[in-house]
Parts: sequence; structure tokens; C-alpha cells
Amino acid sequence: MAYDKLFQAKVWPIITDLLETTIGPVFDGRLYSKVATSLNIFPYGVYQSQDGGGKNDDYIGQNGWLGQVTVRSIDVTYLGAWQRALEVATALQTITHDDYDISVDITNPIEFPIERLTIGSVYTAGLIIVMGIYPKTI
Amino acid sequence: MGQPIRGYDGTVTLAGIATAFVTDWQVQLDTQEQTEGPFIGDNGVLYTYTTSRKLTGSLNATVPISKDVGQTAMLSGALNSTLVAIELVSTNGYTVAIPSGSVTKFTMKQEAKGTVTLSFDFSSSGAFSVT
Repeated sequence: MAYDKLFQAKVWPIITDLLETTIGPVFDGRLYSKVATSLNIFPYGVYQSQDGGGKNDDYIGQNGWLGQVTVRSIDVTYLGAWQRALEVATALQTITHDDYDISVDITNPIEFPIERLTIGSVYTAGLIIVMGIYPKTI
Repeated sequence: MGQPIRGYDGTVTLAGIATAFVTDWQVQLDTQEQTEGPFIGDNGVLYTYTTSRKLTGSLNATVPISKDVGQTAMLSGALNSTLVAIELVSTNGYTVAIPSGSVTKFTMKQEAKGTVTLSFDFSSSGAFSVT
């Protein structure tokens, strides 16, 4: 594939599509980008860039992108949150794309403070993943 | 005034195969230098010329999953002392063509927190061009 000068603008739509397809089902579709639009039904998931959008990882004549993405699993029990995080980790191993090679490495877990809401305690389990996106052929 | 060539704008072809995941390359001209003089009545100056030349260079790459055919050709050239065609192109810039390249050294490295990388040193064997 020839060098694509528009590639970096395609990265986050690709990530959004991949994550919603792959790990959306872990939360029965309640997976949100950046901020949850509903706080009433648990569990739910939220993903966001952890490094301001990532950065290009170009090679000669070849596009590439590398970045950190945080996925948070929010549930009404501590173990429930981590169980979903484990399911997220498992689902991430299956990510593929027709046009791009996708690499996914889970680099760190994150613990978050317990939130006390009117419905009770809410727990968050997080994973920081490093994703890479590269065209399949040059 | 124009604008500089971007580093990503180019191609690397090894053994006739477009090669992926090349991070950088460089070449340099090595010559044998001869000096003549000084000559009588010439103010003691020396005259320098070159009698022979070869191109040497290096190339660094990241190894992709399932390997890369061009990178493997360079490894094979180094291990078996066979010559490899090397073409390095800067799009809208210079083209370095070494039809018969001798791969004189390679270094393979793996880091737990990084990737697997390969670096090659090479020299021209016979004709070459920079156009």
C-alpha cells in the first residue's frame, strides 16, 4: 500500500469501530467514548486515548500509528468490574482488520477510587493498552 | 524555495523485493586517495585524486510478524556470502542503486519492552550509482 498522507486522520475512526465491535458486547453495547452518556445501567465501559491521541510510527514508504488507549470497566461490585476487564482483555486478543495489521498489548492495569453514588458504590477497573495500526502491505 | 523531502517518502528494495518496516538507511562513498607533488616551481602545493571507490552503508529495520522477505534476503546474503541487489529511493530525490551488494554485518536485537530489530552493514561489489 502506498504511503497515505491521510492515514493519521483515519486512525481514531478505525479504533472506535474496532473497540465497539470487539469489546462493546462485553458491556451489552454500553461502551462509550471518553464519557458515559448514561450512568443508570451497569456494567458499562468507557475508552479514551491515554496519550493525547497517540503518534505516528511511520517507516520508509509505510504508514504506522502507535498509541495508548485506556479502557475502564465500571460495575457495582469490585470483582464484577475486574471480571469485565478480563473479558475486555480476552476480546482484545481477537481484533483484526481487513486493511490494517492491528497490534494490541495490555501494558498496565489501573485501580480507581470507589465512587459513592445514590445507587450505592460503583467500582472501576481499568486497563491501559498500547495499540498499533499498520497497513497490511506496502 | 522548495520543501524538504519527508523521511517517510521513499522505498527500499532488497533483492528485488519492496521491503517493509525500514526505519532509516545511510550510505557513504569510500575512496582511496592519492597525492602527487609538490612539483618544482609550483609553490609547494599538493594534488589529490582518487583511484578507486566503493559505496558502504547501513540500514535499520523492525522485524514484522512472519518476517519480511527483503530482510530475510539480506540475512541470507550475510550468512551465505551471496550478493544482494539494494535500491534505496527517496521519492522525488536521489536513488541509490547497488546491483551487487555485499552484506558485511548484521545485528539482531529483541527488547522485552520494545520490538525485534535488524540492522545491516553493506558495501557495493562492483558498479553502483547515485542518481
